[in-house]
Amino acid sequence: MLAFRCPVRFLRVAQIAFCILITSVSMLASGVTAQKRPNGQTKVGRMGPISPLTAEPQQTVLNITVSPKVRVLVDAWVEYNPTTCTEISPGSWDVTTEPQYGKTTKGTVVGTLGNGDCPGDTFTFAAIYYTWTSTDPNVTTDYFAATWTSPDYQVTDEVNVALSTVSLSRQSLMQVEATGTPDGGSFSYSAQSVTGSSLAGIDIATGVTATTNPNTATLSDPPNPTPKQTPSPGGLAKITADYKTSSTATDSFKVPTFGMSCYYTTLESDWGTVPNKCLRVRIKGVVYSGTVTNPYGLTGTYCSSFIAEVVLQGSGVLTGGQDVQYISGVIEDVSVINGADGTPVIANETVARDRSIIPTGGVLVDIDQVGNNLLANDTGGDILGYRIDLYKGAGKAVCLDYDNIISVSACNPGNSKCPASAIQ
Amino acid sequence: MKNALFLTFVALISSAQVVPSGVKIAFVKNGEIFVMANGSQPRQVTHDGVLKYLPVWSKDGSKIAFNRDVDTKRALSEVVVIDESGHPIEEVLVRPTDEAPPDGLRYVKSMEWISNDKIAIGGTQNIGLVETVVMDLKSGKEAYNILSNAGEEAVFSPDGSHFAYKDGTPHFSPEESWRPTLNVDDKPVYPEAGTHVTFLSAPQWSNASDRLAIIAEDYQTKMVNLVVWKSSGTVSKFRLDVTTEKEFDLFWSGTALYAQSGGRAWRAQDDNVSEVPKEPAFNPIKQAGLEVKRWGAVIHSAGGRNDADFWCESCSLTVLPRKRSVDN
Repeated sequence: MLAFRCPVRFLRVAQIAFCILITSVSMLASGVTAQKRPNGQTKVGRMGPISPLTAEPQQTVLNITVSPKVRVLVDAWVEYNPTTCTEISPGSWDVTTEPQYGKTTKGTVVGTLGNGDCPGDTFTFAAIYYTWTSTDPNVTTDYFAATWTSPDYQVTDEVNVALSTVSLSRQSLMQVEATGTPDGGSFSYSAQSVTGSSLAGIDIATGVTATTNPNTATLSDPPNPTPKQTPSPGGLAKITADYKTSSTATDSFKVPTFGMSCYYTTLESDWGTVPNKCLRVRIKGVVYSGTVTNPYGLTGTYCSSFIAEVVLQGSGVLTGGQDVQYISGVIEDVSVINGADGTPVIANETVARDRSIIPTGGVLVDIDQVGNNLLANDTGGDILGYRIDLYKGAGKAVCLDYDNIISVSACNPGNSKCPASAIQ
Repeated sequence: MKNALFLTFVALISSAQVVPSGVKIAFVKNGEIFVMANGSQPRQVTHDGVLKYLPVWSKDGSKIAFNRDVDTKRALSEVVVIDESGHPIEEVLVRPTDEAPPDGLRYVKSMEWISNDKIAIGGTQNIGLVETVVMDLKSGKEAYNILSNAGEEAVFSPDGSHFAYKDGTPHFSPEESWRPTLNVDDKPVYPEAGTHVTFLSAPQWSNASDRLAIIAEDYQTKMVNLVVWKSSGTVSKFRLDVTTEKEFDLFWSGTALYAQSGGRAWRAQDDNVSEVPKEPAFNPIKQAGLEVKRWGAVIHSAGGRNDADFWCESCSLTVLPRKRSVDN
């Protein structure tokens, strides 16, 4: 039977690019050996799309670039009859040298010929795949060899694998850096919502191009959709860096934004002066005006409205600067006013937050345009989700015209209690 | 019937991005108020260029109130009432500067019609303090205010005759010294004086405005009770056999009260409470949440932002707070 077949013609076909994640498969050489059917109407072909090669080397050397944990189609061949465009055999692969840092898998894939033969006809190709599995950060290359065999042909592939990586790290509150391998790729960045809609933005830094490696990018604060109204919540964004060579490597981390507001302890002088110029306030249907003497154990005469507010808020500051706190029916002098975590609130340092976002335990946070090393040791009834209230001290004047910005935030670097799941 | 109606809404929304007859949506786009009503395309009904927020339909669906920016040297903000064609009806300043208490309302967070001539404006004061200001549209003056240090606004009964709120958690006092109370019309009604409880739900009025329910946990024993206050002044407690549930939703169906948390649900009626095998199929909270999502898609497709309000006679939206992000 074999003697009746025509001599085999070699039409070199280029490497495949079947999987979108295979990034670089450059054929340095290619070869098919063991022509068992010199007269038969048989031929071998790689799956397309392909650019045919003219040489007929005995060995194929493939250079591919891969991303971690992504299975890449390395090569796929079929033996077919070029006259009838029928499949003779998809053949099979044997791995002769196993990879060290990844694994190979075999299978079949249906496609068309890369050499342009039999347009419109599909064949079943024997395919070999590679997946980078190592987590060793010091390894970036791998090698394996495999042989494809059909009834009449044999092809040997030597495959050099290069790992495409990108490592994204936060250099400071508003700056990130991405490093990509191998050289020659380009960077791009994006921000997607994990929760919320007022999110951090990211752009390549000024003076840096997409191909600069390492690459610096800058985070940005979102606009406030309600600048004069109730503070808006921020959100949590997933910041992703893509490093594109002939494959695309990605890395990401989460960046929170917080909708800011301001709070304070009530100040005696805000409520007027005794005995005749006290302001009034209505609480629980009761109007507090005029003065009160020795209220709740506190010695002296005060505006009733101020005392009512101290009871309502739990603390206050006397005109002379003395802190007082209302506890269990008594207003008493205290040296410090404690927040919800039981530790002192400090002007321009303490922030109130939602404990489900930033837990207790002395977490320090940096907030763009607000400050660094802010201590999250308080809470607030209206401070839910990605909201933060900055404690500014005593009296309404400290929060006058406070701009309720929405700001990028981060745990203070080095803080072991930084809740990495929510704020990094 | 309700489900059928709801599905009809959904079908109409997905096909034409307009609202069906009987449903009205007011929303903010570029700082102006837009209306989609009875199958119409979005229609801009304000045009003065001043930023507006929080549109809310009157109970009968004939008027829209919204909050409008003013010079903060004059007042905190302004409540404007229009008809659905945009014709002005009332304009009332909220907290004129010369009448504002030092630690008063700082931001307007919500608006709600209490009756045909009263609107409640809720917002935050200083940390932990929430104030609800009730504006009388006839006089143009503040009728009364409600202050709570529990971080939640007052909840009005459907007929507008009562209000309820939680109180007794002053921010700068240690938690162990707190004595939270449930208050109706500014009077504490639960628990007994000196008892320390933690409330695990928002107060929920019955449709007839004669009962008020809340979930309370004893601070010491951690026993959880479903508490029902009746307008006669009596309070009933029903113990719930729970250990880990910390947040509850409550809703009424006629005189039956449902509590649900963590996949469990209880039904209370006529002084009996029992766990029901699963979440009630007619759960209006769940249904309203779905409806909000559907309407939110309509608003977003029309270019609106999250400030929006819905009015329809047949759907479940009234069980939710009037202001709710359509993204949630």
